[in-house]
Amino acid sequence: MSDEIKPPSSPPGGAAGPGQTPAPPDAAPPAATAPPKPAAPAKVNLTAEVDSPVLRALKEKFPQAIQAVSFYAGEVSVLLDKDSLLPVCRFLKEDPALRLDYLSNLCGVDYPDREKRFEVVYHLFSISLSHRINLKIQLADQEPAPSVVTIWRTANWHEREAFDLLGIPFEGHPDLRRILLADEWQGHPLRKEYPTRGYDRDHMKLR
Amino acid sequence: MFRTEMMDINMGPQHPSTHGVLRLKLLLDGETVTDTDVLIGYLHRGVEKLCESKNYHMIEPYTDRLDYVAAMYENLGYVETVEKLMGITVPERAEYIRVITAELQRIASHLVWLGTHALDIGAMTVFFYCFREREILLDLFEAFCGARLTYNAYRIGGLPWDVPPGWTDRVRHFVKIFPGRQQEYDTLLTKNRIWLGRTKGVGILKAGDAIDFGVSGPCLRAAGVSYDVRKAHPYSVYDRFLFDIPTGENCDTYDRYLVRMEEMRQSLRIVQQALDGLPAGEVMGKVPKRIKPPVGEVYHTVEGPRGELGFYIVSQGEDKPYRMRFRSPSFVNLQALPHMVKGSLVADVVAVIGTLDIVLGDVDR
Repeated sequence: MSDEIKPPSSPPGGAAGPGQTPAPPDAAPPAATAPPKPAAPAKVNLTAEVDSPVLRALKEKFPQAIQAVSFYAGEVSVLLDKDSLLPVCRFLKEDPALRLDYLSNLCGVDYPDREKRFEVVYHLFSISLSHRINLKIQLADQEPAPSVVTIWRTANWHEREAFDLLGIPFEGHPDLRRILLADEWQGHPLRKEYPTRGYDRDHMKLR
Repeated sequence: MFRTEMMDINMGPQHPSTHGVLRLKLLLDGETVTDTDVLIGYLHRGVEKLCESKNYHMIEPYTDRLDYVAAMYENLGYVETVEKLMGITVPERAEYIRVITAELQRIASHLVWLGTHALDIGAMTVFFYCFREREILLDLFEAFCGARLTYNAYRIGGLPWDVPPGWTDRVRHFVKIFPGRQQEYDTLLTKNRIWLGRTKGVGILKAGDAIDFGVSGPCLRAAGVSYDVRKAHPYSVYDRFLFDIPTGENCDTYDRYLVRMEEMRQSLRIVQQALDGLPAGEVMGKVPKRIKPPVGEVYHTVEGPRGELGFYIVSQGEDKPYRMRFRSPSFVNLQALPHMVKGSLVADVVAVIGTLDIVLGDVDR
């Protein structure tokens, strides 16, 4: 995946010369007038669209479930309708042409300014076919996310962590309780309004 | 009247074989484990929350404190993720030195694993042998970056400094002597009857379960799945080196031992090739002083000694990450523990914790 952002044409040891002028990112015209200088790396388009077989299959099979698609540094992220998450996940895992059998990561992100403040991100990977896709759903505060534990058992602890640190409930989770913090802990530290030093920590102030 | 009942046993958090502050609640039927509850979080420091208030340069030392047995990988994964987020190209020499130090770190980390794992099972000698070689590696790291455990060795865009004079010769010396030293561990363990008795058929984790539990690294490869991020998604300059991915067949603790032993040999191969191909030149790329990635998000993984080490950064165009997530292999692999110890003896729980090779700093973050 990294080869999409690194310009493959850079010759070995090309960036070595000490006398080369530092090229600010916006200095495209000087680099164009001096082609022999190998130093100035081509400006990488980070948000370029990439072709993804998983995305094509999703668009074909679940056209109404896809709310948005974004690309960044060769990664494809698909924002899904919350209710279609489970059928989509089951399809992605079981389809013989996709086989996204490995849930690499699952986590929540808090955007308090949005109407639906939480985003749950699923990073999927296929061990046999070596492709990736990122799925996302958006949730309002206290709105439960469908649990994917029945599809990937690894989601169990990840979802408990998202519940613990962000307060996202997961519907259908077999054992939803705090995992990193103590059971009697108040609040969810990764929420943006939670102060970094915590509440009631006056005695820990440095000055 | 004679009757039997199940017994709850608490193991840890202050237990030497839990490798830190791991607490297990075991439900025992006689000496057989029927159920396990894994309680973690004793070392939770809220690093993900802290990162949201630090700029990108200030985060790297925090990553050292996650997996402190293999801090080079935390550094490597973090800087590569930021580089990917910004589209920064790293000079060749820096990439090669990163590979050399990272692979040496893998050996150092596996040595800690081997020493402590054998110590848990009762073979004390191996521990001293392993730490003898680890000392050489830590000396090399100290000469390279000034620290022996928490390195902060890389920078976004390259390295803070080149290697000191004579350093590559010292690495070459290590590459030369290490196979002989590894032979000594081999002699002590590989055909040792007690070792075989304690590890063969213990803690079985089959391929299907391992993938389902998200297990990665040597524990997954010992189940016969040839998945290594260095091959599946070559990052840095790993696509230029020849190395094999060792896999096991029996999915047990002994196979995981063999896989890690072979991985050390393969790491040595990579170090040798990187030393031979080490180019001259700068070690720092052209990076703005103030790291301010554009709006976007990336998920980047590297193959740490414990498995797939993932970094997820959401940038809102500020000089601090909006959200930082560490996908630590120890956390995910530990989840398979109840499955692996179900139906085995209490003494085997110790062996299984050892074979999972967890670092609690990495589990709890």
